[in-house]
Amino acid sequence: LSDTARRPGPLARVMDLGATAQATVPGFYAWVVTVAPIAFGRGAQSVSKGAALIGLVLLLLAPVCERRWPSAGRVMSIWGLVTTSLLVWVLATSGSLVPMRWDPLRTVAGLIGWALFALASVAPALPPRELAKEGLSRRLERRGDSGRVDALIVGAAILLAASLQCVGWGAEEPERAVLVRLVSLGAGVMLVGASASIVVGRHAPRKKLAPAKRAKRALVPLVLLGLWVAAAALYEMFWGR
Amino acid sequence: MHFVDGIAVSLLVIAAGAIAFGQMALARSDDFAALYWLVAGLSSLGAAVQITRPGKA
Repeated sequence: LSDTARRPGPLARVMDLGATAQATVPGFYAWVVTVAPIAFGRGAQSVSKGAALIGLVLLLLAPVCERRWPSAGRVMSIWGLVTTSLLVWVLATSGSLVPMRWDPLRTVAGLIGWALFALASVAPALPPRELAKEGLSRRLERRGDSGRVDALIVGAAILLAASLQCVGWGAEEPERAVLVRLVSLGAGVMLVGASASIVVGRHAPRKKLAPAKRAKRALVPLVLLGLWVAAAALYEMFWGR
Repeated sequence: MHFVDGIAVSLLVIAAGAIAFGQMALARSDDFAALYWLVAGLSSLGAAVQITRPGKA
């Protein structure tokens, strides 16, 4: 083979960087757009400046750390940046947040930066061998129902998630109304995610397990559910109206 | 569709129902009931995923 044929392409080189290194660029962008202006703005506390700098240092050191300690590198990259940024925002004076609130371009740029950081952190571009090594990529098997059941399961979950958005609009206080909407959004995402897990679970290569054994694995949440129902029955019996 | 898949879908529907009750309780400021229903919904959701999780091939 010639040298040009052996040389890896740009995509292969990005894949070889590792997960946290790929997240560093969007993370740095999000930091510059949404954290630095508040931490180093007029009237900012020294704690905010320190937290912002620590977050940046952790983000930049994470790829170096990842080569030796992969888990620690990921924690440094994600939680280092997120917790220090939260600290900066919590300590920010209301005046320093006003330009952020009213500058739509900066708001959109910040949203894109954090979305790209989240995407690069959670779903980095890894070569197939790495995905296989981490158990992230497995060949799926057909179950003989042409995907109609899968579509039905995911479709039902999407419908249920959408239905949740119609519930709980009667809250009187604005803070509670926002909390209800946050809960409904989170629950909707979890419902769709759970349906996707069920569909993937149906097609993943498996050992033949007896239904009793499979039910045994779901024992903890099922027992919790049973205890919860029993607790409600007892509560109604003795303390109910 | 296997029997276990049916149970998983039923648990998913139960979870959605419990979460909806939790949201209604939260909206009328009944936090105790809201917590109860939301935990019940999450348990049901967890059971739905665990019951279909395949064994290692």
